[in-house]
Amino acid sequence: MSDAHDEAAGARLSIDGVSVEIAGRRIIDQIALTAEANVVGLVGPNGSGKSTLLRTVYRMLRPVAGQVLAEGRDVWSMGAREAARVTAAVVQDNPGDLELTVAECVATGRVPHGRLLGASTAADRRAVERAMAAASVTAFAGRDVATLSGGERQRVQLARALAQEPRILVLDEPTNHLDIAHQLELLALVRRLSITTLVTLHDLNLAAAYCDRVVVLSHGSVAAAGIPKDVFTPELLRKVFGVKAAAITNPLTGHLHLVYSDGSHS
Amino acid sequence: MTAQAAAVVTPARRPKTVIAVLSLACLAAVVLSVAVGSVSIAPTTVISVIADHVLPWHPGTSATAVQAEIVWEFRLPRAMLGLVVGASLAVAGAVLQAVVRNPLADPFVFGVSSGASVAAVAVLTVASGALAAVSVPVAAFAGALATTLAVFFLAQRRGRVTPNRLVLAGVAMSYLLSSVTSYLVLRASTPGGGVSEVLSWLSGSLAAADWGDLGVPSLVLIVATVGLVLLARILNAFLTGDETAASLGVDVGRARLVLFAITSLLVGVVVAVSGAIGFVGLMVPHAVRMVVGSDHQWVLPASALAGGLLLVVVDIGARLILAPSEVPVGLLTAVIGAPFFLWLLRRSGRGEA
Amino acid sequence: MTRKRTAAVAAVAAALMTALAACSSTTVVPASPAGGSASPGTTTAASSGYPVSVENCGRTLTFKSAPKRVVTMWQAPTEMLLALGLENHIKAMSGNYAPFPASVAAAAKRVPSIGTSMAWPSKETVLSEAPDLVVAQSIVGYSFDTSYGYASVQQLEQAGAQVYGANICDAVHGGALKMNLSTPIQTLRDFGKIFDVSGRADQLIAQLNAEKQKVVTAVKGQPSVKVAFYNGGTGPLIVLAGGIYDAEITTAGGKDVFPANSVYVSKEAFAASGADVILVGTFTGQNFATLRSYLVKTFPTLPAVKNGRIVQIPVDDTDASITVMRGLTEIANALHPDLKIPVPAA
Repeated sequence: MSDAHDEAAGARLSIDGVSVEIAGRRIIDQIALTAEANVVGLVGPNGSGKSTLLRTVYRMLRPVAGQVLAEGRDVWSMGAREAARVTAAVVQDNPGDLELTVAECVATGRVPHGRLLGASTAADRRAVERAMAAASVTAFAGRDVATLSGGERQRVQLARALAQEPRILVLDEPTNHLDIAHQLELLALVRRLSITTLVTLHDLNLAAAYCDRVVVLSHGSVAAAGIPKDVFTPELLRKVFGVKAAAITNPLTGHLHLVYSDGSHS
Repeated sequence: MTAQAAAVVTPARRPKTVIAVLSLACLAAVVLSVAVGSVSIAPTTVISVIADHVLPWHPGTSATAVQAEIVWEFRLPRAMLGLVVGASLAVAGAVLQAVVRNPLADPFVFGVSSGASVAAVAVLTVASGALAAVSVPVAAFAGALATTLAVFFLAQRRGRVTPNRLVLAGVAMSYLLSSVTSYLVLRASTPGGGVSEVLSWLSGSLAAADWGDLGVPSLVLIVATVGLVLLARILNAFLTGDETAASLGVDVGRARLVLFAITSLLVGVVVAVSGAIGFVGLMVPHAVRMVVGSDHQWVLPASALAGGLLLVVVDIGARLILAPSEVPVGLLTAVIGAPFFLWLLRRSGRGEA
Repeated sequence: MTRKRTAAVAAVAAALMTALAACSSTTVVPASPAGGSASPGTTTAASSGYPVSVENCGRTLTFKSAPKRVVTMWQAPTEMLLALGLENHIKAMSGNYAPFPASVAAAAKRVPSIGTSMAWPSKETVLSEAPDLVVAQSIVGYSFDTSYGYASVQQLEQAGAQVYGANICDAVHGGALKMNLSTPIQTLRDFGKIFDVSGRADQLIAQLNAEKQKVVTAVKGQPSVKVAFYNGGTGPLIVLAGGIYDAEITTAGGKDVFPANSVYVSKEAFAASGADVILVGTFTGQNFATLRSYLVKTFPTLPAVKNGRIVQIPVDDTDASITVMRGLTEIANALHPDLKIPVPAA
């Protein structure tokens, strides 16, 4: 079958010296990172500016300095619709009371592709079907989104993002409210897609297991960037997260795994 | 792809069928509305009057002058106005519910109707009578427009207008202006005529309809609905939340303003002509969504047809229940519409596991 | 000519005598309002000298002397009290809805007003006037509705006031439909008894009856005229029917085309009414020309429009009050333009 996933395969995302100010306060300062056809995890304590950085990528916020480049082009130089055809986002604040069915919700992913007068084209329908299959929500297609569990709704949102046929995917804390099985399942799915993905995560072990590279933010700046093994050192964890940690190897997967202590047992 | 996936995702035939059925029902309702009334006229006579007007060779009619006047000058424009007003209110309601993402939003959520009412009541209590027939619609429209602008201005914060602030400002404005209206009524010292007209206007009525009333509202309805259907995708995007909509490439702030402007115009024009008729704008979109889904390319035209149909049918009741007296149609829309809506609610279990 | 004139004078004199005789011998009882409460009043007891008893709306009101602190809640009885020269007995008035007729206008200016017909005085205000008599239209609802903060009849009676329902006992349940031309006359008679001014009352009543008789005589034998009494509105149309209006129309030799309980009438019902004459009831400030042009434009098929029989009638004149016969005469002249009956002064 013709593989939309190949066509959607990762564009190069370049965040170049981006700073954002809100109400006079500088939230993030001179952030630089790149991603291309891989999964980059963005981690950091609360308030470090992760969501703010993501918002600059899907054009919710405009940086006061620096540029966000998708395939070498400033996202603010494209129109909003064109940018939405390149970049899709799954955000945290989804209204829980959506009056849409799953199919209708996923179909909104085609908005950036549509000509104005909206009868869906065959291409639209194919994209929606593929997206639902990729996110394993086809079985729910006729159901109201509001009747699904948190994990299922996240997958629907992901399907919607995939329906945009993006080449860059931005996920803001996609594993919140999910149980363990669904957390692993979602991230495994994301890894399987070849879309350039920037994902914020709370759980450093998930980042270590599923991200090709991680970027650690602290107080609005990049504290460290690289492969998880190199980045997640006890010093960094102590300095940035304020915890005592040790790195071990996960016996089931062979991946880096962090274990913590609050220091009261030392 | 599984057959199941393909079947679910292709646009259902149902929306098109629904629209076809609603169109026929509207036609039937108009025909019925013209055929019945507090003065009974034989159906064949009714048809002959219409034929005489409409057919280019004017076959002539056996109707008396009074009957011809009743059918052509009173009933037909009234039925057409019912269609236009009902359609406008339902479309405006559907759009507003999507844009503020609040299922309780109705066309009057920005204080449009209370603004129009204040202006109309001011004119009616100061200079009642047929003079009002000229300046009441103009005053009502001006009041509606002024209130909408005020609500927008009040809901702004740092140049942005969020749905919640808009609804709150609109509700507060409604309360304020309603009090002013009540005060004006209290101050009007003429019992009988002056107050009766005010009450009739406040309840919403199609009874004053004549051909002259149809021009502007019809034009606005057609242009607005076509425009809104073209923007259907954006309306769909609104349903997913502001941030997601923005990530889909929608300029949320600007789109919201444009949509508000269109609906305010639609509602203002209608309220100027018929007063504030409640229920239609609130409930018709919900009922329509239960049947055709949430895709606005179907919701908008279906709402227009269903809203027009509801109002024409209810108006028939308004004219017959206390004949030769009339009940203002606004009093009846909820009485007739609500039970039907509740029935639909019970029947629909759309997508619930 | 002379013989005719003599005959006319004799006829009028005879009518006057008959009227006077009729007034003093019978008690005029308008039909009871719905709900079983009695008509506004029948008078019993001696025609002068206290104590005096008056039947009013199913109760007996007894007065040991003329009330001195009257509070009125409706303009019609206020006018009647003023016409009887009782302005010094009125502490305060409310329920006004129109300019007062010329004959009592000066007196009315001297009476303090404490409320309108849309906003009656509150409980505290009325009670602070310490009334011994409260006169209202309808003793049910409206100005006695406690949910609006008005004093109820019971509360007033407990505070030492008697409450008199003038003209109507229960306007909430269609009492107004029971009114006829005798209604204000009965109220005048009651006032005469209560305030010991029966002489003046009888004089006024005689004058009113004479004015009525003029009309009755003049329209005798005239063909009945179909009448619509339009009061504004462009859809639905507002009409005046039933009660005092139909009493006037019928006495003037007409027939109201609309049933007695009509208020809102559809355009088509109006168009199909076949009215020969349209009376346009105007309130102060309404523009008759605009109303007429609306009627002409919208109902070209009506006989009244075709024959140009659209006549202005100031609604205040038709009120069940001291001007009621003026309204009656204006209507009679509108229905039968040849008669040119002299219209009583306001």
